[in-house]
Amino acid sequence: MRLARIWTLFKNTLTAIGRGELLLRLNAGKYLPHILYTFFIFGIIIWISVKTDDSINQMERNQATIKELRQENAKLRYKMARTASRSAVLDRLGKKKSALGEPEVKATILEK
Amino acid sequence: MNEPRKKSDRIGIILYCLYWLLLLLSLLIIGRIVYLQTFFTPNKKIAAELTPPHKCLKIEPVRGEILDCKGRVLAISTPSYQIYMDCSVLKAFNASIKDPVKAKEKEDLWLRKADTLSIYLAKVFPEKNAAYYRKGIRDNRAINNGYVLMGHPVNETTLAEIKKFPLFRDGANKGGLIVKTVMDRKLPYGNLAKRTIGHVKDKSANVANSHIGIEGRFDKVLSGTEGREWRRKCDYGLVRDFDSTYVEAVNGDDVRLTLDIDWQEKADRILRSKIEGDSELEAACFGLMDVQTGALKVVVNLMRDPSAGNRYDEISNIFINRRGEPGSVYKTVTLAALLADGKIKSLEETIPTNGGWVSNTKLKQDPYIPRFESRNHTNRISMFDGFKISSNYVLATWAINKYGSNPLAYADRVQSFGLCDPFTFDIAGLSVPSVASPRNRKYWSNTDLGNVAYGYASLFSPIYTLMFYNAIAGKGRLMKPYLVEDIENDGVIKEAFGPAVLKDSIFSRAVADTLTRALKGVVDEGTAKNLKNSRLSIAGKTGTSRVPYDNVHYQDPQGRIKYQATFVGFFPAEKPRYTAICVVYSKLRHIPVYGNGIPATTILEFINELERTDPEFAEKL
Repeated sequence: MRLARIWTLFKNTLTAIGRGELLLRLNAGKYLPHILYTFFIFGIIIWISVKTDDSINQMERNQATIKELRQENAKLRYKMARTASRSAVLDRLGKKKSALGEPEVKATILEK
Repeated sequence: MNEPRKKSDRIGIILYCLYWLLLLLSLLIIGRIVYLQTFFTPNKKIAAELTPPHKCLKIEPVRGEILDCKGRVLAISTPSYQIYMDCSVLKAFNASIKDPVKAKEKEDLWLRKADTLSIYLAKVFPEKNAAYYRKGIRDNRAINNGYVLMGHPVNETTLAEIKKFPLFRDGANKGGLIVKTVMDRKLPYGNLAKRTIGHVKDKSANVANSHIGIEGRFDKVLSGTEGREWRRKCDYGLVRDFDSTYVEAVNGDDVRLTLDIDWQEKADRILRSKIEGDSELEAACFGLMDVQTGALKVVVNLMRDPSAGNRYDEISNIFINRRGEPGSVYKTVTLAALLADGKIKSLEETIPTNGGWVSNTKLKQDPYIPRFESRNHTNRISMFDGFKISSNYVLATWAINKYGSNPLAYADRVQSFGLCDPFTFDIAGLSVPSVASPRNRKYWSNTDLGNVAYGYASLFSPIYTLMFYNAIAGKGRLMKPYLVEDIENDGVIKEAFGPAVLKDSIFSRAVADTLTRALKGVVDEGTAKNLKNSRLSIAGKTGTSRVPYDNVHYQDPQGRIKYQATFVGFFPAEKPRYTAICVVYSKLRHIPVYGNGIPATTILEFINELERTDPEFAEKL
């Protein structure tokens, strides 16, 4: 009996498909917003995936920039250390014929 | 009755046909999807060609920096650029041109540009000439070599010039220019403390002489940890594959030292100015230690470098590894032993002068004693006077009189000072002293005891001598000398080291005060009188020892001798803050080198300059 029912259901489904009435029979009209929403979600997913790829590419570009900036920072710190040494400063003062140099006597600190 | 005929619904039929078409199409698509997902196996060759290549790349961590006590950079990694050339660019393209004449023209044009490039390369990398580069490029093009090393790493300015060279200015795809960034280790302060900072010759080798100084000892801390990432090819280039494993690189930590680079520069400059003029000197070192903490503020190691025209350079850490007989600076150890054991109560106690001959020994006559006798018209000499004039006779006699019957007691007392104990130091190569005693000598006599008492038959490195004098300045507390203050990252301390006490009290404060008085006497009235007018009061000891030139003999057939001259002391004498040592090593020479010469005057000049220029010594109102 059950088998007969299943066979009838199957036959009716095929007939409905053949006549183009399947969705009508299923009363799919009331599910139209849900169907549209599903396709909307598909679109969103594709859009997010494209945006993700763009973000990853941007991140890569940023990483490369950060690496360059770090290297630049290291170069500048090296340069700064070289030029800020006491002897380098005195050298430059000497070249500019400045009267400024190492103190002759020790400093006096006035405390509060 | 007949029913009226229905009008044919054309639009309905068309829609009906369209519906069936779309239905069949959708069934086809669904069927194809199921087939592709379930049954289809792609051709392996085609799949390989179409799959974006993945590469597992190492992420190199940034090596940590080495800083001085005030945070100034002593060692830093900076980028330099290594040039490679793809000599095979456009070769296949030129060969594929149908017209053989045109193909040859294009190829010849490329080769002519390469010849011009060779001339420019020879200017930037003058180690090889233009002909070498020309032949190299042509030969490598013939064998399709796509990765040919060109010269040495260059800086950014030179790279910018190279990018304008003929052929290279056409870019990587036409000119074959490949640039690889290489992180180079640079020392902004040049050769200052170079040996202490050190370097790593070969990261993979686990041998002591490939890991030098702080760079070597703290290589793991400075290196950090490598990372790993998978990258896939895309339109942009190689991007990270977020679906694959990613291990982040951990950058190395920074190591902060106790050295003060300004003080290091002063000491280096002053010492060089004194030794550079004398061709019969071989090496010199200078060390400065904080009395309270044991922090080493200055470590200078200067040795003649035969590979650099015999110029002085930091090529060996003689401050910690060069052992030698200390000479008269060791007399303070003997005096400390006598005081600590209560064998002498006061520096004013006297002994007969005996013309400078130590009875019942083979020790040589002390030439200072007859001079003392005639100047002072006396045949007795106090410990204080003997110490001031650095008399071998006085110290030897006292040691033999008090320890002759039990020399092991002397050895044990010296041992108790911690002078023969090894300790973990921040860089490799520390040499532990050895003091001769009946325990390590088969035959022992009073002659040996006398020798030891005034500084022979024992081997000391300058760091241990400095450590002992620092203990006197610290009222008996033996501080461990250390170089590394802490390990930090972006200013946040991860591991602090700081001061460590080796022995809390090697002698009492009273003994320390007596020793200070004796050392002050050396400077005020003794062998280091030239330091009396220092801007900061100094208490210290001179020492001059002869060094056996062939491990056996002190004097060569021409009568020349090798000397080791030392001055060690602390300042200000009343309230010591720093202990300093300077040791000068000579080659075989006729003219002696004394401790009150270069070593003492170096320390004097250093202290005077420090007092003038450093705010730490400023007067406070």
